[in-house]
Amino acid sequence: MAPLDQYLMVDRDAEIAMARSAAPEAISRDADVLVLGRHGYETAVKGKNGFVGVMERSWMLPYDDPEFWNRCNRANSVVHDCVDVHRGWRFATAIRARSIALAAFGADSAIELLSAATIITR
Amino acid sequence: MDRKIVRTVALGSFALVVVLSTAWQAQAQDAKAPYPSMAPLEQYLMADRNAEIAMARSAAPEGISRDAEVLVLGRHGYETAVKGKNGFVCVVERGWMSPFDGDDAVNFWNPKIRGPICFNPPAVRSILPLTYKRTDMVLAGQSKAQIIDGIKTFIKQGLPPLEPGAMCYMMSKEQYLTDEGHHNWIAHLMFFTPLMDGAVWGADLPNSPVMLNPLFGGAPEPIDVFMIPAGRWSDGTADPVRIR
Repeated sequence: MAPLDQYLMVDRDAEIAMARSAAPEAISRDADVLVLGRHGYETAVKGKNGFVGVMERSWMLPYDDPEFWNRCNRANSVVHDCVDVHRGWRFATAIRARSIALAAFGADSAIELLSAATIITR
Repeated sequence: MDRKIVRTVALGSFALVVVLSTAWQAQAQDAKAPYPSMAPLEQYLMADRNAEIAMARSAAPEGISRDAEVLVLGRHGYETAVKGKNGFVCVVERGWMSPFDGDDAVNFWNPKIRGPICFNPPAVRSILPLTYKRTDMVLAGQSKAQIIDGIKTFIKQGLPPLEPGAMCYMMSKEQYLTDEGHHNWIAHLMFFTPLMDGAVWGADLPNSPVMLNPLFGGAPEPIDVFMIPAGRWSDGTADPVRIR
């Protein structure tokens, strides 16, 4: 693991906006939004539709993924500047699918959307 | 004399109005329900068995469908035409797998409907039995009302519980799902869930790619069907995502 600061985003509003960008506005505007702090994820915006938007970090990759500790996933700048190709593709997939659930869980397929949606609305 | 002529003309006009009105109502009824009842069985069958197998397989990418079991519709129900080995089952569904009511019910008896679909193993066990059941009742000559009653009984007595992860592929370019336009709607995936609020999936919200299918939906099957465009047909060619 790199020093914690390298995983955090300095600009809280930017982290909120990035988390929300995972889904169409009709979903994300009423979603809970989490930001990563020194002691874990904190609720930055209270939602009312049961969805949760969050910017995941590299440790949500598979345990054996060589990028597991990639500090570039702090994403405190534009994603494409720092995030590795693999991770970038995963986020691109999520954003393209316009799903908070996909972004939140780093899902690779629409099938995972089912699992993700089930979990976050539970 | 003049009074007699006037009466004759009035009666004639009235009769004409009645005839035209009746004809117009019949025409409107035809337009609203072009397939009010089952057509002769032959119209639902495919003469070319190999063509039906190929169409069924076209529902999913070859990596899935080449090892799938394939069913074809015969006079007495679906029959296994090809044994599979990956647990998937591909089949060309007919119009009677449409919703019983609502706008999409217009195709329930449409003999041209061809819905190639490949079920994954959980859906084979928990959703495909509904296809078998509806088909068996149709081939037995039952009316839509009788089929609905039969499904209600089946739900209570014979329908296996919905398995987690049940889904299917509908990515065939050959699909004929509507008489309108190009007939093939969109390449898509369908996910089967217990009945739930579509908002849980963000379905049908502006710019959301997720759509709640009117199929099943508790009327009477206790299952919801969420659809997500696949973006390409099973042969790999693009099917640009069209979001409602």
